[in-house]
Amino acid sequence: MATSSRPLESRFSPVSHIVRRRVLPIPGDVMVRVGDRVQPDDIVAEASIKGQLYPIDLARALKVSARSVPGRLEVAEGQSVPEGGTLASVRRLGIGKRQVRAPFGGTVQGISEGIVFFRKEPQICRLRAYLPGEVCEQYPGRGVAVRTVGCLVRGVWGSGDEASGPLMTVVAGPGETLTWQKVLLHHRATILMGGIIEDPRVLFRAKRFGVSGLVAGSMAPALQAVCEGLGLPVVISEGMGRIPMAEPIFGALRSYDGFPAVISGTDRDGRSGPELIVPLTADPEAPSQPVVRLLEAGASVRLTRPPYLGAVGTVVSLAATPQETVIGTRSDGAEVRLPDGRRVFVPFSNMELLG
Amino acid sequence: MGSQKPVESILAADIGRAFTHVCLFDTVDGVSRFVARAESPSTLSEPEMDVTIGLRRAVRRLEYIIQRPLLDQDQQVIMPEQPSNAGVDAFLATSSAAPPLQCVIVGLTDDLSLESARRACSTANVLVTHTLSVDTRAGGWSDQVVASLHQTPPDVILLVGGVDGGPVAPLESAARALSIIYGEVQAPRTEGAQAPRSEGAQAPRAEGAQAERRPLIVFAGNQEARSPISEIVSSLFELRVVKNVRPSVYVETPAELQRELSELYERIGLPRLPGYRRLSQWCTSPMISTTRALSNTLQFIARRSAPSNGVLGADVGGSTTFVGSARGQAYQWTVGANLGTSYGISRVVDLSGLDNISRWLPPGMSGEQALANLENARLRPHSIAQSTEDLLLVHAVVRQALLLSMQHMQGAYWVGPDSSPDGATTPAFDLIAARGGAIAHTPHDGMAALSLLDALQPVGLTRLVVDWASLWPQLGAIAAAAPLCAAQILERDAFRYLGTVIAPLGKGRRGTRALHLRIVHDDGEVVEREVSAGAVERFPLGADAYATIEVRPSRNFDIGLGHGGVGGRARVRGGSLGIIVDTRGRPLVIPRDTQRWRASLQRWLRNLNGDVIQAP
Repeated sequence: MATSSRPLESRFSPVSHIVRRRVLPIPGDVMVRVGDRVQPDDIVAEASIKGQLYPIDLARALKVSARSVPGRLEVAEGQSVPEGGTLASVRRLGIGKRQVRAPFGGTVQGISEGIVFFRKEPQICRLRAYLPGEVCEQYPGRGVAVRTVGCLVRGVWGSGDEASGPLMTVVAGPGETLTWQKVLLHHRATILMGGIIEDPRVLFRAKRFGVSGLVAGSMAPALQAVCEGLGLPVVISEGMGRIPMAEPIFGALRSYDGFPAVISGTDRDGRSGPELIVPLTADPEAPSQPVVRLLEAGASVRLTRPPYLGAVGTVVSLAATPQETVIGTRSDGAEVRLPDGRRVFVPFSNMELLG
Repeated sequence: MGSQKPVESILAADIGRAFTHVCLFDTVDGVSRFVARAESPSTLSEPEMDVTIGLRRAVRRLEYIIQRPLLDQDQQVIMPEQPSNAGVDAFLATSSAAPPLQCVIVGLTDDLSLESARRACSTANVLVTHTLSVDTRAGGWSDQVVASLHQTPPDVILLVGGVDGGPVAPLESAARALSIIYGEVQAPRTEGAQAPRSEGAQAPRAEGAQAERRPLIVFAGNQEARSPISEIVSSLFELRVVKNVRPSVYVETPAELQRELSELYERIGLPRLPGYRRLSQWCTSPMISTTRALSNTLQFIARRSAPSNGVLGADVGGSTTFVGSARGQAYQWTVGANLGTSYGISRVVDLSGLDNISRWLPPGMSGEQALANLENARLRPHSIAQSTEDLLLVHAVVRQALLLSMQHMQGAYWVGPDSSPDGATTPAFDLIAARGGAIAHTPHDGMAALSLLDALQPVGLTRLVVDWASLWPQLGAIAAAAPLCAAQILERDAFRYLGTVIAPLGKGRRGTRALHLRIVHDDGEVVEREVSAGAVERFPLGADAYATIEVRPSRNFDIGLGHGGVGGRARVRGGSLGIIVDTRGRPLVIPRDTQRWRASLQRWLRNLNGDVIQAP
């Protein structure tokens, strides 16, 4: 009828088929077809997006009342105006005209109470493939899905947009702090892997040197805002504070040192982050593991709450009925063997599948 | 409930942002009873992105517990109940999982109508993202405001302003500006427009749909402006018109607006839940918001037990905190959108400050570590506390979320908007009913009780109960459809009694006598104790036991009879903690020296038997 196990999401897969959907925010044109091979920077779809709307306070600029603005207008609603074109003007006795000019090319969307609402020219939104691989599905007028084989690390936190570049390991171990001295000019356009980020100078330097992105085990919580301000793609695999990157993830990524990788720091606007993907040579035998699957004995799991936060253990057995945790709550869970050999009961809620 | 067979068994679900709870109710010996419950993490986000997946898992878990089939081979709820005992007669659902409605308030003056509108918004799952005063040209349609309105359109624009009979032109002007801003975008989207999906792919979203939709306008301003506003906006926007929230300078009438906003959350917000359509097909009654369901339950409790001082309800969820009070026909409530113990942690920390979180933690726990642990709890909203420190941290968030909500209740209802809520005390209530995962799943009731005492600060004599099985929202849904069933379940199964709290008003030097307590148990046993000021103590009295208590406070303390030193007698019910005496005074004053305060908290916790074992 039912099992005591719980389906868990896999947060790390050393090698598997990965499919990522690339969809425009509004209908547009799809540039590729099913079966086409694409590279991360290839444009797969594009659409024309309306320009931003700006209010221009004509009454204030002309130093006239809002009521008198209609009589001073040199444009009408719906009219296109080039950059520098006159929107309104007023004659000043003896010293010519006071004019308000369009700060950029656009269209007059409307006028109300002496304010003209001016829309910028439309812009083209271009959607990149993000992954190197094969177009496996097309959504007419909206986008495509791209499939590849690779190593996938799902982050628990991320910031910034999507980027690509060779993966570079700059620390010796998963718990080593990534210091600013380790971020060098020749890391430009690479994705750096470090253990722990504590110093904002790491982020500033990475941004200044044109690093494509950073992936780390953990980060000081105060740096979240710094990352978001910089717009640098950052993916954190374990959490906030000082948590070493899970050994299986660190080991796998280190083995791919120098390999091309893609990073996405966000899940906004249809993006699939936070994640890091190292595309590998297409291997039809690569497993296509379900992202969510039932936990089984022998599975490698990451533990996500203190006192075991960040530990990677192996599931020994699944409890058939709710068990008592060390603090006295009862929960469904599993017995997990920790790296130091201890066996502890961990609620399903506090573990994530690795591999 | 449309089935021909009388409804005997009900499966009811409450879908929160973090967890989905399901409860089975059935008729036992002719009476509706709660049978069993189960929960599973909600599946709102990647990779599942369908609430029915988490719901089915919870139902499967329930099947495992009760050994009774509830879903058929197609994973649908078996309805009605079969002679084989499989299935149920009805399925009901409530939810608070949809994100709060994003709302922009556009008004004329910066204090009256806007403030009234803000207060009305705080009673629904609504997050006010901007408040715009357009009668001053300088602060009105700035670049940032227009860009924000245009790029990230809110769900609702609440247009308020003007007393009834006042000038109409400024409101017309605001309406015209909104029409220009949204002139070229699409009509509002109420059903999730989802792209196709395939196995193995990342689930699609309504990409960009946020950037290309037109908000709904609710007009709650000068009645004279209704017609002109309608003429200007109704061709572009869906317009809802409610009573002026501020018809005159001294009168506030928020009820219609409050009702409208609650309904909009159910009409616009809930349908955005991924899998909503499938879920709706299961439901035998329309799905309602958890807030409305809880409100139903609280008012139901107040009507059924008719306590003279009413009921105070508190719910601290993962993403929403709710506080409501029902007293006779009067019902007042507040909803803290994005205030909670998992998804809502950030807003609790932002509004409270880390120092105010830290004051509830044991001495020695650093603020920096606390912040990191809080962030990790937020990043993994389905995880649960598994160490003492983590549990205390969760309860620090519970206290602050409730304190923020209580401050709002003080300002909006109890002391008035013009008075400072700092020195105000909570009105006396006969019953405090609390719920939420952090409270119900606390390993020791003492810890839950101390959090409630610290945050809600009851006054006088109050019974303390918790929703041990997470079934109050479901009861609220049942109460609307089958009130007798709800009443029977409420009386027998809905409460776990923590005990009766005696909390006098007043202050006394620590160690001096605050009150003399005499407890006469029904078996004749008599317990007499002096309780000193600044203490939290408990006296055992079983969950189903009653006793007569006699309280004689010192002259500095008032047990709710209006004067210090006046004693009284009452018959009280016990609970898992028995009788709790809190002589710390009201409002609770937290000294600047938080180290000493934090040490005191540990002592009070021990007194309430709220110790937890230190995890290895």
